[in-house]
Amino acid sequence: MNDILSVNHLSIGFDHSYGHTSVIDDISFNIEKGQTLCIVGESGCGKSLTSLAVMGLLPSGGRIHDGQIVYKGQDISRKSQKELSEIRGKEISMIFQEPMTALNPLHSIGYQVSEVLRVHQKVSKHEAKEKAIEMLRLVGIPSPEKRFAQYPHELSGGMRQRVMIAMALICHPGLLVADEPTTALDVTIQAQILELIQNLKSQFDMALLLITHDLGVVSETADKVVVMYAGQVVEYGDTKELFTEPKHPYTKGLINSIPKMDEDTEVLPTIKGSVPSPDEMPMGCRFVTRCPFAMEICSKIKPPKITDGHEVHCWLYSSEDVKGENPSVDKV
Amino acid sequence: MLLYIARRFFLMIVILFLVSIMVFGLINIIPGDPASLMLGQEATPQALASLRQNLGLNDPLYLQYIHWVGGVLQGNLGYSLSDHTPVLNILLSKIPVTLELTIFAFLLAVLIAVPAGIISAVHKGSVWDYVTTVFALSGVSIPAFWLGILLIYLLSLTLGWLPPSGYVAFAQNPVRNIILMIMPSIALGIRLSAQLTRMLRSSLLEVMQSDYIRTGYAKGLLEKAVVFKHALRNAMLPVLTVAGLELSSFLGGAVITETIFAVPGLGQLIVNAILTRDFPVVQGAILFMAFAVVIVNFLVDIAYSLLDPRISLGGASK
Repeated sequence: MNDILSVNHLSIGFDHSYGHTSVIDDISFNIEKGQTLCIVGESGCGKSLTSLAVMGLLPSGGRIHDGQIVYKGQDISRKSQKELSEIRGKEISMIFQEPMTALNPLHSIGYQVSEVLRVHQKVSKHEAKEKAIEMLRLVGIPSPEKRFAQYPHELSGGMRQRVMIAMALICHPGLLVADEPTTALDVTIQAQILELIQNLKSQFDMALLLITHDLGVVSETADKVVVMYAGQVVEYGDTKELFTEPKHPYTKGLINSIPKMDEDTEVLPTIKGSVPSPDEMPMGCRFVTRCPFAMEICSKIKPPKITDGHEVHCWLYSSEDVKGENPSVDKV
Repeated sequence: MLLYIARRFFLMIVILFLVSIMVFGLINIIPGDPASLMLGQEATPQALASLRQNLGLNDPLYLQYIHWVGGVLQGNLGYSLSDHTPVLNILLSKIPVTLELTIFAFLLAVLIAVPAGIISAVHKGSVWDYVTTVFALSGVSIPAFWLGILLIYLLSLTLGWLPPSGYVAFAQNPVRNIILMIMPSIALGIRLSAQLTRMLRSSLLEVMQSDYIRTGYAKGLLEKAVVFKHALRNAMLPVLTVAGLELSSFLGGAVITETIFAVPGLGQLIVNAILTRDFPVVQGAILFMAFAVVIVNFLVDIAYSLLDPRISLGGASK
């Protein structure tokens, strides 16, 4: 196995005074060394929570109930915060959605970037500064010597995201987790940042776990795709295969809702309704309330995992004799 | 940075000028004639007229103001009506007392509040959090006089550890001075420490939810480093404001505390001066208090700009 990260049957929930809400339910995927895996899905489907779980940074109240997160052969899902701190920033790094607030406003750029080095490597102050400046140059920050002493409020959003990338990569991690790294940026900057991440990924030979809801980004960057819906994986496979032959009605809906340049349509196709909240999940398939092909069984029993070709979780592809009509799926 | 300080300094001068006008106006607004106040009910009209002439009370107001400010700038704050000693001398004998009490109480407050605030925020919901919350709530709820009486009852009358009240100058007997200052400092400091603890706790809790705190953890920092290197500095900003305000009110003298423990500070001086209608003393004391408030605010502003790089650049000139 060449996997750098494998997530096995991961379930995450939140404990409250009045009980427990399951948010992520039994998800599995794996990333090989140097690969890019994208997690796509609507807001609220658990993409970000999954990425935070990989970092061991679940928000308060959140807890891994089941499953494993295996990084380079060791299960990191049960490690203490102290053990995790030796992995974070060094082996697995993360960049966040909001570069405007992800940097501490009271410390200089240089301090924040070189801090990672000082924590993980025994380097002198001078050496840390040199390496930090080098890293800032590498992520495309002009006159990094000058920027080193500046503060976050003196930089634009795009520049701050570059600083975040410099901070994340300065220790040459094996895996970079990027949670919608371009969502908060100007459209003109988005492509630059993505290209930068892609270039550095191959330069540093690291794997990339990219969270996004932009299918265009997925098709350009990902080797593999996980489609998540309401805390579950609905479809998982190679990008090319998944885009040319989407199986799950949700995936098809997502792909259909991308505007196409060659078609003259006035109204874009959409998926009706919205993601159900964790407290009112349907019993069977969680997509059942929005699915145009829902059958009786879908609302009763959780769909099986079907691995004919790539992985899909849907009754439509079950070989079992499912009750009710079975419409042709090709018409979606 | 220097420009920022220079600008704040200029503002301080303007504020002091306005304060001086108000303090001067105070005496003129209050009904009654200073000359008849000084000489009493049975003064002859001739004596009154000559005193008015001597005091310059017949001059136009702006001239009176200029004379008064000129005197103030030379250290002449007038003379007490009751015993005719220079007001400056009276103030100079009281200020060190109040200053000492302020410093002790403030240090005590900070030494309690910072660790208590950090512990209760970081271990939110723990036993320590409840203990500090109870302490903080009682601290802000107990009136100063009641706390003072309780302290005297407990530490002097019951346990006999400390003398109940009194004051000895530091220069006279340093050890005795400090022993006598312990209880008033506690009485004054506890309230502030309770306020600062609550402030720091809520501020720190809010900061700990910030994205950059998550970034800190994502870098591989341990909780201790995240709290002390990233959260605390951000959380100190609102605490600093409250601390500054309280510090300047301390400098105005803590009347109740001073009265209970018989500490001859500014608070007592002002109350007595008001009761005996000794206006020059009131005027001088208020001027000093205003000066203290302005200076403390100036220092707080500078501390702000040292803590937060955005502030010194936030002004009009870049």
